[in-house]
Amino acid sequence: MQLEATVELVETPIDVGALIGGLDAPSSGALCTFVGRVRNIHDGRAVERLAYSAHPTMAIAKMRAIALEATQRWPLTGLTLVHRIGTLEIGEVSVAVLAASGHRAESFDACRYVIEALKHEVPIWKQEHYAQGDPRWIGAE
Amino acid sequence: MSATESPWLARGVVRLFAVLADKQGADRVEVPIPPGSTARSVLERIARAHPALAPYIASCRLARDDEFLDADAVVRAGDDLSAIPPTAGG
Repeated sequence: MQLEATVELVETPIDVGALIGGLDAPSSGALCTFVGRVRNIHDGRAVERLAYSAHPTMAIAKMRAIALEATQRWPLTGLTLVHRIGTLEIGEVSVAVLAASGHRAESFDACRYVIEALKHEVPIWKQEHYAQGDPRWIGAE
Repeated sequence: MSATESPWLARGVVRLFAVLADKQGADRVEVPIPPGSTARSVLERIARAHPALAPYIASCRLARDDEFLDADAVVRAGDDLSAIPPTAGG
């Protein structure tokens, strides 16, 4: 039976510990977690915060498609993909990918695949707000 | 024949996001979508009609019903269309 992944777009803080606790299948010998956080510098400029926005229905559809692809490619025992939108302060978690499997190789590979695919295919955008100067849409200007 | 059936008056709506919505000051634009229009031609029409968007439209993809469209895909005025700037999640 195909694993049912957890896929969410949220506006509230992501509790990575709770997500890890949710992937507790007895068959999970490995759990690889990627956590994306808001960084305080980009191209040498001091960043104050990030504003994330999304095409909500398409973002969820694309995230589900990526999760399905991962569960078909690797023998996973758990998969969670959560992205936050709205205004995030420095150090806050913007995205979390958790891939559980029997052994470590599959969990590393699936986790890497999911975060890379998300960056390329999911309609989510971020606008950087700086200590000085106008904000900038990353990737577009 | 009613005005809405007239091909040169067939207007559609394209939803705008991120940098496009920011520059336009709106979350959608109306655009003529005559029969035979493609994803590419719709984006080109938006760029011509809205010069402020033109620099950003070039790197956008058009989506319908939550799926990216190929540039040559045929679209119609009633479709749920979205202009998708380069993604930058994570």
